[in-house]
Amino acid sequence: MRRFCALISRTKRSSDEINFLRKSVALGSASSAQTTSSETTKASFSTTNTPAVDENLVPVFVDGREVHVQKGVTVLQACEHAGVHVPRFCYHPRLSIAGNCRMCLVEVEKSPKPVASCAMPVMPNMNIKTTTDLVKKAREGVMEFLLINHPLDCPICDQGGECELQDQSMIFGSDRSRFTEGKRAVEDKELGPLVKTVMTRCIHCTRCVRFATEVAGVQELGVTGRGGQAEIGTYVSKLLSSELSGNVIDLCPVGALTSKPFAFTARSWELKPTETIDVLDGLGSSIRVDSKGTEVMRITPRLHEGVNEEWISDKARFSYDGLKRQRLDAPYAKNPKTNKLEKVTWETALEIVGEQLSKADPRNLRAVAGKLADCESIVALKDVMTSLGCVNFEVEGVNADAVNVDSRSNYIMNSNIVGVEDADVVLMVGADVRLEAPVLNARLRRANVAGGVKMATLGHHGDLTYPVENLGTEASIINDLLSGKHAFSETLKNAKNPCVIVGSAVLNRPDCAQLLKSLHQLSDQFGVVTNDWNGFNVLQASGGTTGALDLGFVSSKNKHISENDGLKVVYNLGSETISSYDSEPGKKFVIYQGHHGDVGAAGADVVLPGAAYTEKDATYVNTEGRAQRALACVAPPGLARADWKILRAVSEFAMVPLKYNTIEQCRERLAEVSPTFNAIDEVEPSLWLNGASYAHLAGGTPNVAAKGGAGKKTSGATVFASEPLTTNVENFYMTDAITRASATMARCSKAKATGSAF
Amino acid sequence: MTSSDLFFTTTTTTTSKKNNGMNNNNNNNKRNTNSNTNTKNIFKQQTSKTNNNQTFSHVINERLYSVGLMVHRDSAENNSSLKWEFSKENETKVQTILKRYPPNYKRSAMIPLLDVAQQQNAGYLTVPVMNHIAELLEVAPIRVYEVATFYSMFNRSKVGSYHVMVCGTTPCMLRGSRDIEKALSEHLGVKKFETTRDGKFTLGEMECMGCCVNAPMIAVADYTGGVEKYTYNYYEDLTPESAVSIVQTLAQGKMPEKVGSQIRNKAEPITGTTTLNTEPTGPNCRDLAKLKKELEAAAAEAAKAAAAEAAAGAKK
Ligand code: SF4
Ligand code: FES
Ligand code: FES
Repeated sequence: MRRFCALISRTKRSSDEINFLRKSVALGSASSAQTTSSETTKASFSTTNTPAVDENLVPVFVDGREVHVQKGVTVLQACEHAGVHVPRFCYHPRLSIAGNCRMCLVEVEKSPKPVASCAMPVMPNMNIKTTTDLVKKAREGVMEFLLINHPLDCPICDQGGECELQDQSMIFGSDRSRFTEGKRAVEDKELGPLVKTVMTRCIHCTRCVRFATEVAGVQELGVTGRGGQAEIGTYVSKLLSSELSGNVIDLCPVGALTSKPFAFTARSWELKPTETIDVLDGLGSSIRVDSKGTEVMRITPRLHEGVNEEWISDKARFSYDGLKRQRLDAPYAKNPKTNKLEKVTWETALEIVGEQLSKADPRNLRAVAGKLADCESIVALKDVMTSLGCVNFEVEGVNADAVNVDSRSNYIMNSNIVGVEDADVVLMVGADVRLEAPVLNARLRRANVAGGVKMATLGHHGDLTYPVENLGTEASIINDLLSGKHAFSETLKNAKNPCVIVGSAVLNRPDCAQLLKSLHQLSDQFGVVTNDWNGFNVLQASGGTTGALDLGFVSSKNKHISENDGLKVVYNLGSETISSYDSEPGKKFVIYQGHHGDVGAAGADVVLPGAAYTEKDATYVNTEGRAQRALACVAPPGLARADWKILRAVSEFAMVPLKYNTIEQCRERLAEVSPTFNAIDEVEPSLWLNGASYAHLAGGTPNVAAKGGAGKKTSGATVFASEPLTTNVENFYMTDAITRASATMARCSKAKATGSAF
Repeated sequence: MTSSDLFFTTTTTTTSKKNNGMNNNNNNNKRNTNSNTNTKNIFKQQTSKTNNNQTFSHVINERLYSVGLMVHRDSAENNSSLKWEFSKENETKVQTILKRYPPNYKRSAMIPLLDVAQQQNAGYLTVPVMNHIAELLEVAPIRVYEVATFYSMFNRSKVGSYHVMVCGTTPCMLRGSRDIEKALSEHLGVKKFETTRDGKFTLGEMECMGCCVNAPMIAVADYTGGVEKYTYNYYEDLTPESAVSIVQTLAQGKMPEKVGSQIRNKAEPITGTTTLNTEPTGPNCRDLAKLKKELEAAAAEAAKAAAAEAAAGAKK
């Protein structure tokens, strides 16, 4: 319901503002109670000429224009609804109301003083004026006081050009100062490798403090001192420990908090913005990539209510320097004499690849899709390999034998990302959501703190920033839950909308099939899936996995051969984890196509340089099954090319030319394979097969790989591997080839490990 | 005079004021001052009254030191790795304080707890102290740091056993608080916000403590005996001499004879009370005792009548 209500406004953003407010009003503050009572009395007088409208709406007048707004919204929101912009510094729709900057002063009829519009709820028939002399004078006064202690260093400030204080002082600021005392100076704080501070510039709006406390859930920032001595900081010197810390840079209306890696590298007006998406975690957050020439200069979030609201993780924001390092900018092939990779021309490389592919026995072929692969290249690779007769496909990080891809509901977030807030009990299995998808974790935190959603986990994890009940780490606990032996079964049973979040680590366990079967069973038993609710959620680890599964990039059942008998040629599309596919001279031939010189390229015989997610027009599917388009922001380095084009060329050399020549045709092919790609940026609910997906697995059969070893067998219950459930993200800052190549991410990892920025 | 004239006058005068202070009078400023002094006398006055010994940076420092730094610097005796706890006796006090608030509003006890902790910890709050309180109240440590830095009555660096705070606000200042400060400073041999060598006295400053009628005044916090012996006393109607003698008495380990005003009994005019000196003449308030008796009599009468009526009814 939250998703669909457009209460007073047409834009996504303000409807959310209203909702936020509604929530805070519902918490029952004294002032809102007053509003309601005085409203009822006045409403009886004002029914004459108002048309029959929703009774939750009240009429107010903004600069003489009548608008109807939701009860309990603030004066500022009412103005916004009327299309009148009110200047502000401290107010932010996603944070609690502080009302401490006073920039939003407006005049309200019958009120003796100007009122801070962000903190004042509307009353029926309120007459709000924003253009009077009084308002102008009040705002000018506030601006003058704000500038008293603000340094005049715009020319050397990174916020210059996109600074709210700069912009608003153009309207309300004076052209000269009446302040002749000494300006105060504040010591800069060390907040870590990402956030640079120039605290003298701070205007004490406390947005950063509220963000850290309310959204990120790390109570580290605060206001120390008072009045002229007030400072923002941590008091005891401490690095910000949040995975979302970069967002305070966007929130800070002035240049007090700026990006450390971006410092002094470009002015904001020199940058070329491209609106695209992030692929470094499963959410596919909306981002804006700012580039200058051929370089990505910085990455900032874009608003997407369904996915990331307006936050992104530090990894998405700061790992862009990894796009400039360790890049494959030319094709390489192994020199048979030296057994070393050497630069070759595209023709040579493609000839070798074509020959290897076309001469190999198709049963000895295998294709692997890496976790950052885009859908166009995956479908092209699949088509090339299928035309060659290959039946062995694999998605990085997914135990392909176990995950049933016939139904999408088996591997996506069925409740959608926003849907997790509709749950009343959330059970996270083998996941550390804070590390795997920090933005989703902020959502879960909000659900817990504001909505009282009960959180429980199964498996190892760190501090999730909200209270959770850990049920243990053994997979066998699921059996207890199923049999009702575990106390938590009761909670699940009583829940109206229970939700299960399955971490991507589960998909890669040897006992993945057993686990998924039991979790499906659990879902059916406890109403995780009902007619109008599907709370079975798989949290994929990165941008490429869901797309690959959607495109059916898995081996046809029972036909594939294991790598030991006769696997000859492997086509590795950007996978970095599968070292068992390292080439062995004379035995195995590995073709690596990707953008970074990481594990994958090191173990290859031929390297084809591809493009990273910021360098190609491509489609990715996020963990909730939302197909999204990424746009090319900069050109790929050197001789590197967009990946699907490389595969198009490979198909020619392998004598199985693809039928599509343009990206449009390629996308038509995508849509043919899966309807997901017909509707960009939409999520379709998928069919739940009531456990049928895993029905073929017998209950007690321990089909556990030797590695895991069989756990204790309880009568009739499923037997799981004995390794404890845990996340597969050990270090949030380094999860793939791009982030591993990033110096900033390396600094972050070090800071996290040592607790010091140096 | 146009507004821009005023603007320039103000600036140049103040600039020269600053420069005077720094003994750095350059010609340019002087000329400006001269040409402008005619137009606005008040600025001339101001300039001449400015205390020339005080440089500008000094003013700022003074302001800052009154409450200390707003960030913490680790030292051997004050860092987060140390542990601190309430003493046994104070633990009961802590529990009483905690009981005053509902469990979900535990953090309301923050200021009283900080106060007890400060008394126990010889007059100042260290990081381990604040961390311990954060733990007790189940809040993040920064929330305690925020409160402790906000209030100037919480000290975050070491103070003497007696914290002598001279009121610095206007009424006291007009009645001579600067002289008292000077006398104390000379007597103790320390500047404002400094502690004597023997660690006995810290000379501090506070803003208005609500005793303006008996200005000038000082407050003395006594940290010599922990929570048990802790006092926070006002000494009012001071002269430089009486202020010094109070400090001398304290230095001998004794209590000054008189707490509060040194020359008066209450907040009365310096010439003695001028009104309400005679017995009140009336009309007085109602005599409640008499009224009560009357009412009781009336009630008894009514009861009797009712009983009689009931008896008559029964007869019928
Ligand atoms: S640092 Fe920036 S966001 Fe934080 S209070 Fe200061 S101005 Fe506001
Ligand atoms: S925006 Fe209203 S007080 Fe800051
Ligand atoms: S001014 Fe000193 S007590 Fe009020």
